[in-house]
Amino acid sequence: MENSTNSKTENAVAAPQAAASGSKPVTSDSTSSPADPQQAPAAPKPTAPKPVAVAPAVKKPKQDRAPENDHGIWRISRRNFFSVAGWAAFFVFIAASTIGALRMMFPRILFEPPSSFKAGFPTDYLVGEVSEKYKDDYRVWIVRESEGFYALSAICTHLGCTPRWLEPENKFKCPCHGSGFRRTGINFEGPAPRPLERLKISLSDDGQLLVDRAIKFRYENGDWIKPDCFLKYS
Amino acid sequence: MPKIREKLQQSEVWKSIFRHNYQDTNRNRALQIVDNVFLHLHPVRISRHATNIGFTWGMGGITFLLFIVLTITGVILMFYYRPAAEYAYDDMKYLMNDVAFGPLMRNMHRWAAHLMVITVMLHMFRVFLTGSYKAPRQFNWVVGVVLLVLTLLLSFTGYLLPWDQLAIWAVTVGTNMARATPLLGHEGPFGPQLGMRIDNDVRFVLLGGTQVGPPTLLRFYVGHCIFLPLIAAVFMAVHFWRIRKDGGISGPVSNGKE
Repeated sequence: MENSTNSKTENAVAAPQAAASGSKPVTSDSTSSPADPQQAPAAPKPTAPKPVAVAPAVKKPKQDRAPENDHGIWRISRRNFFSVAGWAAFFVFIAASTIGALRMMFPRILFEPPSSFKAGFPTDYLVGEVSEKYKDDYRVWIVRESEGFYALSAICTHLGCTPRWLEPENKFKCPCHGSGFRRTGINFEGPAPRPLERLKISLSDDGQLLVDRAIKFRYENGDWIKPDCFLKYS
Repeated sequence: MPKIREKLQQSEVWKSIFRHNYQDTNRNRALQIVDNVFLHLHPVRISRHATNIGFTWGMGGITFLLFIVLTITGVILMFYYRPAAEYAYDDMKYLMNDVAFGPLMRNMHRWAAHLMVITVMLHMFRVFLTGSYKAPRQFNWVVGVVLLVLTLLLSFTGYLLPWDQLAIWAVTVGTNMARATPLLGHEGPFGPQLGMRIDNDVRFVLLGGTQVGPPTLLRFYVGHCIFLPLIAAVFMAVHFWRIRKDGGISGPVSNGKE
């Protein structure tokens, strides 16, 4: 009902609407008040009973309903408020459900081998030996040198396969893509971009070797000279 | 006999199921297609070029056929396969050695999976060559790219399920690449700065742990059998629907003919 007639405007709306919606220009032919110079209708015919409205006319309020665009002190109407609140509740629910579902995909408990383990007594190892004793369970080689021990992570630095220790060739060889490593862990063939990682090795209170796989030493970062990287033992 | 048939076809049961007879009129033929839930995927009428196999190669349709084959054989395999680390490999061996028609079903599933990747590629290749990705079909190209990714993910998740050495290490290698995911991987660009560790990054979610293990098998199984096929079905529905909405299957540029 954009084009309410002038006469109707005058009769029904003029007084309350003028007070209610100050922004809307009141188009009435009789009351050409100085308050609406914003947009004067382009010469409305005063005598025409049903002229085509050229300016946005005032909407006629229906019974039991506040005039449209009259928000009083509220920026949004009550109906609007409930609509917004309903949608907000819906999207909050969806978002919370999504977050809950995503969080559920992160397990709290891992049924994986612990990061640190005891690897027997130092006397169990022969000098010059690369022990595969703990490879199956923990993916670690324990290498016994004449001066002591170091632990090598049996995870290929190319894409994470488990290399094999080839005793006759004195090297580690990855079956996936052919990376090769010296017994020190230095890479020398194949696609592996960096040496094997060494792991923290120490002596526990009961005199056994203690390897912590969570603490890694990278050759390329200069970590191999750090004390925990090599256990002096003779 | 004709009388029985007559009576049967006049019965309420028959008429409630089959709305249309075999009258060879254009209207009846159209109604038969439109009123059938399976056939209504087809357009009622197509242009002459759409029957030209040399142009479309029929690769999209073959891909869909393979998807159906994979669904059926996959459901059959699910009757014998248990996605737990203790059983998975033995169940696969059981299927291959002792289940009647087990090798047939498993090999059909395997070959259809390989073929589906190939046909998706060929379909994409054809669409590219014929310029069928151009307006108004840009959106359907994007949907198709999503379907390509879903196909590859289905292939990858299915690869783990035999739970043999090949599967475990292939998935180990594949998911290790997720370490380098930007922002979401603990070895990727800006990953560590955002607090990514080995036990909270995107690879951790994929594996359900820090290494390929029993939780990974279960995750890949659910993804392979439930999650990814459902998503793919939704995208396929949109894909097929958009073909029709975008003016039917694409054809050669008409030179004023037809």
